[in-house]
Formats: sequence, structure tokens, C-alpha cells
Amino acid sequence: MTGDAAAGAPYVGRRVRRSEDPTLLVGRGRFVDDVTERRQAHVAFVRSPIASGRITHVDTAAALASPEVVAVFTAEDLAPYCGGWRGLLAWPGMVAGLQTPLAAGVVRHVGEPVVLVAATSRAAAEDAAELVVVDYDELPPVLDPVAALADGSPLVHEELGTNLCFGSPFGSGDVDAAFAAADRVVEVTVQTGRHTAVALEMRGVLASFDRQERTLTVRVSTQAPQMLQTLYARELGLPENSVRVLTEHVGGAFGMKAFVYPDEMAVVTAATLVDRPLKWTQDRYEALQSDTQARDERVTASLALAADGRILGLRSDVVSDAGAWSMYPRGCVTEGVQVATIMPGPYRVPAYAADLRVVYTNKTPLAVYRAVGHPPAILVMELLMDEAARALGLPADEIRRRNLLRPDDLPYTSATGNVYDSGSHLESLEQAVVGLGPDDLAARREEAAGRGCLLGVGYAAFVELSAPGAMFYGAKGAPITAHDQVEVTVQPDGSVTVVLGTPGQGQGLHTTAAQVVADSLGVRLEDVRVLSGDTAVAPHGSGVWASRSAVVSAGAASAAAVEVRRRLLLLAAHMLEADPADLEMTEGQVGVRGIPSTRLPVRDIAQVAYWRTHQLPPQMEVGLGAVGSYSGPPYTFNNGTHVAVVEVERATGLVRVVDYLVVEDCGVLINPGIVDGQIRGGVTQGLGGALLEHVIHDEIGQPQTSTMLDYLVPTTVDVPDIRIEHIETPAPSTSLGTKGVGEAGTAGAPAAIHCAVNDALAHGGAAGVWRQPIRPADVLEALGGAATA
Amino acid sequence: MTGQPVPVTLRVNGRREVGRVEPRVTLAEFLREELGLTGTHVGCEQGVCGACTVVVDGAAVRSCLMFAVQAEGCDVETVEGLGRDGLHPLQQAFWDAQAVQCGFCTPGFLMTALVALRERTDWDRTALRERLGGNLCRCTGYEPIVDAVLAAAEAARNPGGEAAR
Repeated sequence: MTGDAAAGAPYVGRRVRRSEDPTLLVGRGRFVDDVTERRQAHVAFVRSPIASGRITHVDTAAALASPEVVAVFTAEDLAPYCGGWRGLLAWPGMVAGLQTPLAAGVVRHVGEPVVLVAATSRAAAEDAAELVVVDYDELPPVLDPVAALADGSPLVHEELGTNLCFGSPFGSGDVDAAFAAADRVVEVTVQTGRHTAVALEMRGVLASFDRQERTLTVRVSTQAPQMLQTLYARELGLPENSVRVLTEHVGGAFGMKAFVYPDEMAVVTAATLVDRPLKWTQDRYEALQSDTQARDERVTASLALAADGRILGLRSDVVSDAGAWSMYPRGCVTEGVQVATIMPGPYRVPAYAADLRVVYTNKTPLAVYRAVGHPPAILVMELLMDEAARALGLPADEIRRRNLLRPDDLPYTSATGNVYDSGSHLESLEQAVVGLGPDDLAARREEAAGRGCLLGVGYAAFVELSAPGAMFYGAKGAPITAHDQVEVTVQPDGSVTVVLGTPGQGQGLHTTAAQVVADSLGVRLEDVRVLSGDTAVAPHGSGVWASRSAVVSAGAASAAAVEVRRRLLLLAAHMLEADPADLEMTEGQVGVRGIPSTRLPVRDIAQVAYWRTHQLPPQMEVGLGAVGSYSGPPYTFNNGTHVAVVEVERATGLVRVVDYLVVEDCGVLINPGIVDGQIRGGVTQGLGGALLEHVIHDEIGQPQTSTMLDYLVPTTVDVPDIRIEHIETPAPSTSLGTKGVGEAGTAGAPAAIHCAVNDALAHGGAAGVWRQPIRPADVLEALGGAATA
Repeated sequence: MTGQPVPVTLRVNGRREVGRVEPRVTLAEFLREELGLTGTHVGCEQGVCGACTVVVDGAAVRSCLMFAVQAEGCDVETVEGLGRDGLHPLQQAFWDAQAVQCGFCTPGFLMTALVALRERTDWDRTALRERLGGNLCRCTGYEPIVDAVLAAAEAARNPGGEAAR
């Protein structure tokens, strides 16, 4: 349980307890709202109550007259200090409007911030916000992304002259020839629900500005503190060394906290204009109207097959509902691009043609969310595989077996140019089939039928792109890149301090870094303390995103530790009068290999390195701290197969996931417990997407899911215990052999569950459901269709 | 909208606390802002997520849905009151089971589980899942939380047994 193992055994690969946990367990975490500055004023926002309209009049006089009000700002007030930004990346032809901290003249979605009110308490700020009068000329909202492309549609951004944010083909090979030669063609049209991350800690900012020093300190709930440091400095015209971003504990993020939000930027800008710290803590209504949203893809795809089930070609048409803005700086197109480019997945697809259109509408902006684009892509591909299996009379596992990449196919370049350098694509399926125990399936179906339920089994074989390099963002102009830095220092008493460039939001990055460093330095895990979260003293990092930290952050920790180890050995060699090459390091001691009497504790070496440097030759390098850096490969791919078993209740249409197996290959495991936690949590979010989660707008663009009673996330009773098995195919391209795993669960789960529901419906003689979330009403409709057919 | 501050006296983690609060101040706000007990987290203010769960006179209560003045004379327990001499067995079980990721929901789960285990220690897995169903976690997928509470229950049943160590 605690990872006990023989003394000296490596920590990497052990399920050690997380060093992060005791502080959190006793309630001493420091999330943004837990920190109070003297004289802090509290911010509340006046937000747009309509989806589209022109602001005709703003009257703040009554709010300003309130004795508790500190300041009120409109877009015009902040414009001289922060000019705004465009969420553009260098995708050919992409367009984006100019976004400002507060809506300037036009509102484009419900929840867009319009006026900032600061007062001596949150309650007073909210009271005063109610005294602000904003008049609007309502405009017809753009809500359907397909209709939005028609001539004559109202425009979300008049200045752009179009609602098309970005359009592009993807793929390679002669698709027309493939379809012409096909024995069978199957097609699906699927729509995935609009999701949002629902991090339990809502967004928040505590910003203060020293007017004499001209230094800005921002405590913020984010995944990318250095990115914000750069962008705050850029937007406000401050040198970066005068901007300090603090992030201690972050209560979940899932991609949603990787942006410059207008409301946060408004608080930061306002803090430079008032003589007291400003705190804004979001409430859940605001979160469900202003946090980035995700998915909401409309996909039609078809698969050309040979008579034996081999894939000959794939076509897809993807329409991505971007909402009102391309969020800065990651933009809104990555989701759609990944839907299109990941779709071929772990299969041999010789020819593929995708057409992607990303479209602006009057909804909360769409952006990256855990597994970005993978869930719809994998869903579509797996639904196609099942349709093909039904058309050809093949079992679901068999059609996959005939198309999955085999070891001798690797390295394999997909039709969209992704290179899979290693993996266990077929092996993971075979292991999942064994794990499912197909022998008793018929009996399980019969038993379920006795209870009025249809049992279904769904497979999802997938690859997940992880630890990407600069290709998505850095190379396209955003301050987001592939590197990370970590500083490792052996202190004078031999204890070790590790400072991460990239702090986590609950992933256990402190623990995994400590495991890597302890192994490298031959010290005990409890002698390593890991810090992060202050850009004033931490080395640089690119943030937590895209399942990158086990590759990039851990890789940087390893690089730093290797350098410190080199210095320790040089010092030890001098002290022992030995050749460094003859030294070994174990259990916190350095000695000459094979001569037990020469053991020198690391602590003794460190004492010399810091306090007894007079014992060293003058030219010798002293100090035992080093910053290690790591730039990842272009990307890695983990892979695996999920199997879901569901029961569909005929009477109610309710879907219950009764068994779930994950066979995952993310390369080397640093801490299997942490990896399993990522997978389980990921599957749970995927389950939410398949069955529950849905941001709903009415016909005038009003969100109907502004509370957590309306936007449903999975609870303890919705999620089964999840069986997890690992295959470890080390990544040949990363320093530790790790591949990243943070999003893999979310990538595969919506497909496995959806395929299982459609399998259950097929066993009931019903056609499938072609939308997510799969509501009981959809299931009943499908079953009703079967009854009347 | 606002009301004049009124006095409130209650016991928090065994200690008598006296404050003056506007009637609209929630118990969660009072604990966090007046007493500095920021271990009680506010995740929705809608009574749904359970992160703000505290124990009031023995019952698990959402402190975002209760006004501080309603707790007048009550005995309130928060996460800070658990295990003041080292980790409480529940906290230890959460640590052992890796039942924490971001940690924001954790105090609420601990307080809900505390009351559940005071009621009985022979929970089966399904019933315990139902019992914990009012607390949301967005990170763990719940399984390790259920494991942890069951391990703590086992330890409470067999104080000298394997699970208690």
C-alpha cells in the first residue's frame, strides 16, 4: 500500500503515497480563495443576460454611490490600459475577433463580463452590481453552426464578415479510389454534447499592484502560470520580471484553466488602477456560463471496406461549434483539428479525407478540455467499426483485430501524418478480450434480460496523442511550448529540494518528480521536498496540459538530478581520491565500487560543497544545484483498449455501466497508483460525456444548465469500479520511456460506452442512438422504433 | 438587502467561538472568513457538490445552505478538527488509498464519511456508494474514496487488525 520495498530498490514503478496529500487531508490546502490580503476588495461582474446584442447605455452612478464600493470599471475605462487580444494561431485562413477584458459595445454570449464592480465585501460587490444599469439592443443570436455558414446568417463578429473561424481538409491517399473499390460502405452521423470542465475549485484571482515598484502579483487558479506571466506583462506593458504569478493548490482544471479569461484579465487590469488588492472568486453560475466549453461536434463519417473487413478508406465531415470567441492563447480550433486528425486511430487506414469547419456562434467559447478532440474522433471511428461489423457479420473484436496495427507495422505513419513509434495496439485488444471473459457473455445477457435489461458490450481501441511539442501552439505563435525546467538542489545536510517549473492541479507531480529524483540521487524519498507555484523563483515551465508532465516535467527533473549527481560524484571522487567512473551511489551514500569501506554519505559531500569549500581545489565547481530542462519529442502516443459492459433498462431507458475494463499502454509507469488515478478519473469524465453532461441552450441562446442540478456530472453511483491492466511498451523517444496518460481515460470511454449501448439496443432489435449524451429518452425512442418497426 | 450584524455563538471543533455576522452570511462563509478555517471548501453554493460539508450537532450538513445564525448554539465539526494529533484514521485511509487528487472535494468527503462511520462500520460497497452520492469529485472516479472509507470502517471494526495498522 505504501510502496514498501527492499531498501535501495528504485522508487520509479512503485505505488508510493503522494507527498501532496497530508496538507490537503487536514484542510490546509491554499486554493486562491483561501488566501486573504489586507485591504483586499472583492469583485463582482455584471454579465450579459442575452446571447447577442449591442450595448446602448451603461449607467454606473448608483453603484458608485454605494459607500462600500471601491471602484467600477467598464470596457471604456480599461481600454487605455489593456487593449485586448485576438485568439489567433497561424492556421491558414483562421480569423478571430478582438477580445477585451470587458465587452466593448457588443455582447456575444450570455455570461460575457460587461462591468466590473469592486467593493469591500463580496456581498457588497454583488449588491452594487445589481445597481448597474445596462441597456441592450438585442440581436438575433447565431446558435446553429451549420446554419451559421449559410449566406445571410447574422454574424457573431461583424468585423470578420463570416462566421467561419477556420476550415481545412486533412488526410492523404486516394479516397475516391478506395470508396470506388469498396465492397461495403458504412456511414454514421453523430453529434456530441457541449461539455464543460466543472473543476470543483472555481476560477479565481487575487491581484495586487505595487505602484512604486510597478510590480504585479497575481495569485490565480491556472494550469500555466508562466504563460500568464508573459501575457499579463504583454497586455499591461510591464517587464516580465515585474510580474509574479502564484499558484499553490489548484482544484482541478482539465484544460479549462489554460487561458487568459476576460474576467480574470479585467481583475488584473483593475488591480493596477486601484490602491488595494482585488480578489474575484467565481461562483458556479458564472462558471457554467463563462468557463470554456468543449466537444459539441457534428460529424458525418463513412468507411470503405473490403469484403474481408479490411479498411480501404475513411471520409469525415466535422463541424465544430466554437462559441463566441477563440480563447486566448490556445484558440478554438485544436478540438476540431484533433477530431479530424486523430480519427484513423490505431487502425491501418490507407486513405483518408477529412473536412473540418470551425464556426462561431453566440455561445460560451469552446476550447480544449481533457482529451481534446479525441473523444469524438474515437467515438466516430468505433461506431463505424461496429457498423462495419454488423454489415459484414463479423464480431466486434474480430473486425478490430483485422485492422489494428501489428508490431511489424511500426513505426507507422497515419493518413494524417501522425507517427506511432511504438505501442501495443493489437495486443491491448487481445488482452481486453481475455479480460472481458467472453465465454459467459451469453449467460450475462440472459440474466440481464430476466431483469428487464438489455446487456451490451462496447470496445474502444484508441491512440492518444500526448506530450506534444511546439506544433499546436508555440510554432503557431502562442507562448506555449514543449519544454519544462526543474531545479534540483542538494542542501548542506543532504536533503534535496526540487522546484518544478510546472505546478500540478492534483496529478501528483510533486510525488512523481520526487520518485525520479530520489532514484537518480540514491536518496530516500522522504529526503526530497518538492516545491512549485511561484514564478518569481521557479524555473520556467510550459504548464500542465496534453498529458505531458510525466514525459516533460519528470524528464526535466531527471535531467537536473543527473547533473547534480555528476557534481556529487566529482566532489566525492576528490574526497575519496578516486576516479569518478569507479564510484557508485546507493542509499544516500557514494563509494568506490566493490570497496565497502569507502562509503561517503551524500550529506558529508554536501557539507564540503557548501561550508568546507576551502577543502576543495580552487578551480573546482561548488554548489549542488542545477536546473535541468527537457524538450519533448514532437509527441508521443499512448494506446489501449477499453471495454464497457452496460445494461439498458427497457422500461426506463436508463443506462448503467456495470463493468469497465481498461487495458492501457502509457510506457513506463512512474507511480502506478497515480497512473491508475488518472485513468479512473478520465474514464469517469468520459462516462459523464457519454451519458450525462450537456450544456443546453434554448432557442434564444439562454443557457439552461446554470446549476449543478442541471449540468450533471457523474456521482459515486454512476461510476462502476474500473478494472485497469497495464502493458508497458517504453517510449523510444522520451528520456524516461514514459508516454503520458492524463487524458487517455477520457479519450476512450465515450466510445466504449456508446458502442455498448448500441450493442445492447441491437440485441433488442433496435437501431442505435447517434448523439451524446445518451439520454433515457433517446434509448426509449430507439426501443420504441424497434417495437413499431 | 443587508441586515444589521447579529451576534452568534457556537462551538467549532470543541472551541467556543463568538462572532457578529450579517444574517445573510452562510456558515461556510463564517467558518472561512471569520474563523479562518479555510479547509471547508465552497464548490457551488447551490447545495449540490458537497465540498462544504461540515458536521453540525452530529449531522453532515452543507455549510453553503445554512446561515451562520442558524448554527447558534450548535456544535460544529470541520476538517480542521480531525486528527489534531496526527492524521485521523479516515485521513490516513484516504492517504493510503490515493483517494486524493486535487483535494478540493476531500474535506467534504471526509466529513460525510465521518458521520457515516459513526452510524455504522459495516457498510457494504453499494450502500456506501449511495451514502457518498451527495459529494462530487471530478478527479478520482470515486473508487479509491470508497476503498478508503471501507478500509477505515474495517479498521474501526477491528482496531488491532491489518487494516488498522
